[in-house]
Amino acid sequence: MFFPNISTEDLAAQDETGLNDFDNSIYSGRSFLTNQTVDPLHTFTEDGKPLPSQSPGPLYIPRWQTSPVLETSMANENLLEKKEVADLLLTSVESRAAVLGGFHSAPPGMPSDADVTTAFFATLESIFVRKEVQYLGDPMSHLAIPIFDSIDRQKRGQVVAILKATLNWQYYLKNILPGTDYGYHVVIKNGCDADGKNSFTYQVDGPEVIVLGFGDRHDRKFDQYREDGYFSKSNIRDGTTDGVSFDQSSCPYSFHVYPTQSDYDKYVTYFPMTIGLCIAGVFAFTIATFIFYDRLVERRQKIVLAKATQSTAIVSSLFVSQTKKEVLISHRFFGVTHR
Amino acid sequence: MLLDIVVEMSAVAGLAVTATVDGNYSWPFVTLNAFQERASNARFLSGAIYLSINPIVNGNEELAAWEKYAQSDANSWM
Repeated sequence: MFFPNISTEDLAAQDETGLNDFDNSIYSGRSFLTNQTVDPLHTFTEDGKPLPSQSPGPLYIPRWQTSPVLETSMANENLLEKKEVADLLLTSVESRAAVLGGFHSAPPGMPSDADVTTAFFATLESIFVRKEVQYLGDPMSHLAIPIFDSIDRQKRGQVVAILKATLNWQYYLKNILPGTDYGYHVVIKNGCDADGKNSFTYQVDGPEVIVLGFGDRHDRKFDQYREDGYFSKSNIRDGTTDGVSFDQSSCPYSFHVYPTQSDYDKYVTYFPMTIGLCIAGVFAFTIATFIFYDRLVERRQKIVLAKATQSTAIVSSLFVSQTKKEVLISHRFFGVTHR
Repeated sequence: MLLDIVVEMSAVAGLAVTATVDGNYSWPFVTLNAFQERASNARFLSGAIYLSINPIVNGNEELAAWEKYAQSDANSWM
């Protein structure tokens, strides 16, 4: 048996930083079966009432070390009696692979909510962001990763424990876009929950994420602009040469991104047409000015030509050749030209 | 747009390996040293809001031994 050194970031350390203030003390108080630090193997009813384990065995998976540590009696709860995760854990043990489960959600609420799951998720989120926040009713997923008793490259040993992580999808969408890039719908779908409960829609506006609700709620007008994403890797890097296998067959996930009307309005505007019309107007004005000027000059030329022709005709009829030449030269001297 | 979530999960998977290589344990009677520090870091890197290590207890004999272990000083991590 192995006994640990006392951690410096346990319940007491969380207390010092005020993180335990988010814990639902009413529920924590009534979550214990006994007055011992750790209850015997136990389970909970849906409304959070503790019961001694009802499992006949022979396999048990008690929850042991957790992060964060909650004041609630979580340690030694038999997870194989918890319907949201039991199958997931067994699948991970049998397949010797990391497995992602379906959606797990509860009604929205604060850490003080009467609903045990709501209070649990709100408490975890509040500790995660270090301020009291409301749980918005969006789905979590549980990731089960097997722990082996050996990590020999040729043959990993026996699965001796499961590391379970609770993921809130919302946090993977936050802070990935700049504030100037907004208006996307992200639909996360899984292949293992019932219809209507197997997809969830978020709106991503810059660094913020708005929870829209269960179902595919994207704007159908933008179907053709869909971008899809999948987990393309069959293993998760864990520091070993080959990593741990990632089995997606039991619950495949897909991610779909769509633009929204606000994104459309950001790019599809009258601005390019306005600019185009302005440029066309400048050209039209320039052409009109040129034509007008050309007409004016031509008119003037015609008048001058008519005058010159008239002058030539008068001079020719009055003077002899030499005198005509001189008159015409003097005419030129005063700036009158003719052809 | 979506991040490579599988890469982010690596931090959690690394914690699982740590549980294996950290010493010559006799599972399921194992409580990891400095789990909170390691898990807090893994949570921060992976975006997971909750982590737990859940040993597999096989058979009623082992369960009885486990119950004893859970009531011993091993629970001082809380």
